[in-house]
Amino acid sequence: MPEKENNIGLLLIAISGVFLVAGIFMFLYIMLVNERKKRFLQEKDNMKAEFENELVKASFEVQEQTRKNIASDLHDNIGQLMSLTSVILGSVNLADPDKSATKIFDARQLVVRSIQELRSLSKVLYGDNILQNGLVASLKQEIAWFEKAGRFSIDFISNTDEPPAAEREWELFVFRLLQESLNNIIKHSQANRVVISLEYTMERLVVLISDNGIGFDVAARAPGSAGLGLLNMRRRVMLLNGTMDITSANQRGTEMRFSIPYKKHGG
Amino acid sequence: MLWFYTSIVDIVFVCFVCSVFFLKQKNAGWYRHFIWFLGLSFLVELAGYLCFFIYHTKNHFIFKFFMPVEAIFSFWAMAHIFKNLIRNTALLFWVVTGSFIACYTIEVLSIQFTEYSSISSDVLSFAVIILCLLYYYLFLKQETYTNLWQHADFWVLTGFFLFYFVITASNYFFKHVSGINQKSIIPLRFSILIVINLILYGCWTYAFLCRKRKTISASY
Repeated sequence: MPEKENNIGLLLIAISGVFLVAGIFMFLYIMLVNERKKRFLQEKDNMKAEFENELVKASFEVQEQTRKNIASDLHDNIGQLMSLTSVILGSVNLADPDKSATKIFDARQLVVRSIQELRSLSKVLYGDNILQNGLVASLKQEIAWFEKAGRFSIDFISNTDEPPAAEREWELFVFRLLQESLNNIIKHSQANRVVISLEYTMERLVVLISDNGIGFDVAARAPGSAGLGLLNMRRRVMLLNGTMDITSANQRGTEMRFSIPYKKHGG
Repeated sequence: MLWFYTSIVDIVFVCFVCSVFFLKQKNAGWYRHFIWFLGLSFLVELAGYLCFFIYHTKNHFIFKFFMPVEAIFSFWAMAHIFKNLIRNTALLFWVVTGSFIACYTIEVLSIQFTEYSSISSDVLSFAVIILCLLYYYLFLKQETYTNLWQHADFWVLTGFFLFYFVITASNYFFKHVSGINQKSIIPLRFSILIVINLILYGCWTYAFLCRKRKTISASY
């Protein structure tokens, strides 16, 4: 009997012990899941902070690029016009009225052109908000800047002239991506023709930028030393939950494809 | 060996003293009710000890009549804890409490005065375990993060859960031991009770400390 009682006693301890251990495991499981939740929320906060940071950077870069474009235009275009005006007026010989009249007329034409250029510049500077007319309009303006240099022929195709209203931050990111793609084409591609295609759907914006330049080895490309490198572009596309594909080969031009979920205004 | 038999009384007393020290401020909120409940629990445990170990009489009736107080307080405390997780805690409280009171009343009227209400005890244990599991599920489902080491409600529930989870198994096994001299394994069962009471009141004491820290940080 005592042996049976001992066995019962051991069984009682064992059962109680098992239940206690099970209870403690439940407790530890809850602690573990809670810690995982903490890490997840921290990652989410980090991503949000990174997004905000990239947004500020993108906004700054757009402004910087705009100012560079303006500075370049002032120097190369208006500066040249004014210099030429000054040379012409300096060569006027009042003793020869006919030639003087022609020169003064030419100088006046140059001044009129300068005024027109200055007026278009002031429209950009006024409000200093490159995207106030929307992504398509801003992109057309940007393309007009690039085409002024005379080196490129840029074809712009959009499946709509009035795309759905999107969140300003989203448009800023997309505009910056396109702006930098064009900059890279100018700096590296040695192309003379660029095609930009915007295809809006209900869910996504698909952007195709292709050039007829020298191409490059996509896999071997190191992060850009100036401006926005390819890695940074990929990171920003990922922040928008989009995808980025680059197709390029030596002497066969380059095609960049961005597919970005649409973020509607107020959505 | 006296210390062995007074262990549970000592544990409850220490927890009671801690509750007085940690929860005496007004901004401890509903936690202040733990003070009177633990005071009463201490008196009940002391009376039970005196009856059984000093006067050598059955003490089941003491714990039997304390059971409704214990149940109502437990469900009431849980209703407060559930307030952050579900809307209609009052309904939950009344349904659970009402069911227990009905069960208890029927059992008390159908058994002898000195007999323990084992069915009601099982119903109480089962209800507490289910409510604790429900709390854990709702807690994990929340999107926000809560630091468990500073969350008093969690420790109160965990104390309840571990206590009733183990005691249910122990009681169930003890009841169904047949043809054995149960008295011979009472010290063993008592040892298990000491351990789980230590866990219960240990968790509650930590919960009171968390609550005190929260009231201090809220007042700055």
